[in-house]
Amino acid sequence: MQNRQSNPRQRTYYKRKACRFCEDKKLPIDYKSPHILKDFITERGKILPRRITGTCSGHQKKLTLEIKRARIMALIPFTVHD
Amino acid sequence: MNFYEMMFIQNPDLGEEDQEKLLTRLKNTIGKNGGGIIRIDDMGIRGLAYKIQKKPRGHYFLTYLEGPGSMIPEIERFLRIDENILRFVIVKLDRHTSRQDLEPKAEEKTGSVPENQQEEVAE
Repeated sequence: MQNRQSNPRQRTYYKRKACRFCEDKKLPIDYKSPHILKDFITERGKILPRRITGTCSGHQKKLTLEIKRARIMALIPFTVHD
Repeated sequence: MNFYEMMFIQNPDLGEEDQEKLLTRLKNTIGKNGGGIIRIDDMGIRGLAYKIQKKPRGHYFLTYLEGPGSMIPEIERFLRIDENILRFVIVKLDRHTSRQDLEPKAEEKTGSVPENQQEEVAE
């Protein structure tokens, strides 16, 4: 690792996260598997953005839809209150 | 003819008799509108992520239907009217779905969420 402070112009690069659904084609994006959807929501129940999870555009769209379906069926919460 | 997946949550406090009646009426509604149930899985009583009608639990059912698109509004109407249905979702399955995919398999443990998938990846 280089010392970031030594050269302010040099950006730190992170390893690009790969889309989990592209890596594992068998991993279902399905409202019936809340244990998988849980990895893509915050503790408060909000949907995590792609820039955090590394999900590709196509899978993120599908994921959003399935998370919303799972919320309707009370499989995952809409929000988590204190 | 299309294939649909329908999940609904029923009032968990319902007696067995009333439950039978409800399911029969649901079947009749589907049958009357030219559809049929391929499979119906009782997923049992589960906790809800949030309360619905002040109930902390719900009785989940997962069903697979076959029928014309015109039956869907009728089914939705029925589910909305019945007070013992807390929630439902109907999803149209894609065109490549075949009947065999949906029919109950002998060994498959239906309805439950697989906790550990048995597929093992090589390497």
